[in-house]
Amino acid sequence: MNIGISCLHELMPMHLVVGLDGRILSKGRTLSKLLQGNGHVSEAFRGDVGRILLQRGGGSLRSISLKSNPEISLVAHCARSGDLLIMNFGFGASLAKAARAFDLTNSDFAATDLAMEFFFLREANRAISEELNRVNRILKDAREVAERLSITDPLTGVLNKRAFDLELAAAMETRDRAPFSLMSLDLDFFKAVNDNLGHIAGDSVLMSVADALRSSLRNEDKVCRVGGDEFLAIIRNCTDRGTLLNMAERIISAIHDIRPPGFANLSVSIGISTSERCGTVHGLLSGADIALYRSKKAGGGIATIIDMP
Amino acid sequence: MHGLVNRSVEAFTRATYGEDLWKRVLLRTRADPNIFLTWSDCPNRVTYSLVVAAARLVGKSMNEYLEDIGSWLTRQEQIRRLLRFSGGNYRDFLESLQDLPDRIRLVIPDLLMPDLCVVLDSADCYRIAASHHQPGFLQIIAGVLRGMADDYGSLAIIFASRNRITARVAQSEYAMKRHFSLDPSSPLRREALR
Repeated sequence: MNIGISCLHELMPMHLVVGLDGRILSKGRTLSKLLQGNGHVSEAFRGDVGRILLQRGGGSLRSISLKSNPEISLVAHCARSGDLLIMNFGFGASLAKAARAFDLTNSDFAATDLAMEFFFLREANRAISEELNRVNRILKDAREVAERLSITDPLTGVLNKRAFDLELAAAMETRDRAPFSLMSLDLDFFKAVNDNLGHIAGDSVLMSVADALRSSLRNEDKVCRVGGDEFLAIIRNCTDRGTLLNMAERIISAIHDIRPPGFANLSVSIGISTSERCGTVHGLLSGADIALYRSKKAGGGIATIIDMP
Repeated sequence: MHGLVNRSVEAFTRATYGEDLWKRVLLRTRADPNIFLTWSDCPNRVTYSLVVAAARLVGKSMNEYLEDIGSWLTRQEQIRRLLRFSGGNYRDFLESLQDLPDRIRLVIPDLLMPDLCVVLDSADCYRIAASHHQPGFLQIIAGVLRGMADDYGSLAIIFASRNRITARVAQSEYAMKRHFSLDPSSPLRREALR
């Protein structure tokens, strides 16, 4: 059986036929793009690869660096036929790098080579992960919106009761290190605003009240709308009577400045309890309620701090 | 139907006819836009109702709309590239169409689609059939074949009927091929240099 060299060229674009002296006798068309020098294997590859292949006279060898581009390493498979060494090369893991460096195209690979499948998979995977990233981003945004909605009062943007209960429980847990106070606030005569101006005006008053609370308190304090015209606030790291009454005074005056059309001014009653005097969440809430009741009874527009639990 | 199919209908419709039209499609079909986020399965009737509604709103037949989706897919660079891996010229591409479903399953195993069978009827005429009938499938494939003929610079006449596509390749190299490099980062740069 005699196989012509043209067959090698047709079937194996990455072949090399080398004489026992190391001289290159035939070179596949794709390999021709990769190798510099024409004469001897030692000109084509870095290191002693040419000699090793010649000595072995067969088998396979990996990590063969090109002289023309040391970053690309080939895999060789060779067999001896008489005084010829027939080698076939593959790109191994350098495939993508080599395609870029040598501008390879479909026609540079044997029809049986899985290179095209590799390129296909590589790009398909990239496209899929881009699509998954897009989906993840949308889901993440949606979750953030949902989280925000689940902890805030939709009208005023302050915390809702559920989120406030969690804050209160957390504050209770650390009250030894960071004593705090609870403020209960209730607008005086708010029903009259709603009845005379309508609910839309009433809602806008509530929004202004929430703004007034936010700007009168500090960032670390927590404000919540319990429902209707009732608000609660956690005043962190503060149980001092004078400071608390000052804060309450600021709130009363800020709310006083909200003037719904047709109303001279708005007033709020405040009841305050402190974590030092009330040892439980229930005690705090009812203490603030009792204090609020006293402020209301005294005519509204003032703040009361509960003395006893 | 796989969520990606709905996603294709969505992306084509939004890109071609605009956001407002897509919103009307969603309102008409009462489809939940969130189904397009996932890879998961969704009832076939949702997909069909989207196509029917969109086609009606833009005054096309359902078949025309599906073929347009197929052609549009071939103009999306990432998808065009994936299709170009199937062959060096249009004839290779048509002949390797049988492998396309397998290739797709290699990447998205749960995307169910009929197998394709390609028969060479005469020297320049291919007959393409699906292993089982899935309404609309061959119309999308016909659109893909049309788009890829342009991409390969071939002159081909594609005709889709209910259960087969005939593709007559009048001239395999009729116009300039669109450029294709194995390196996804290079094509634009290199084309600019030419």
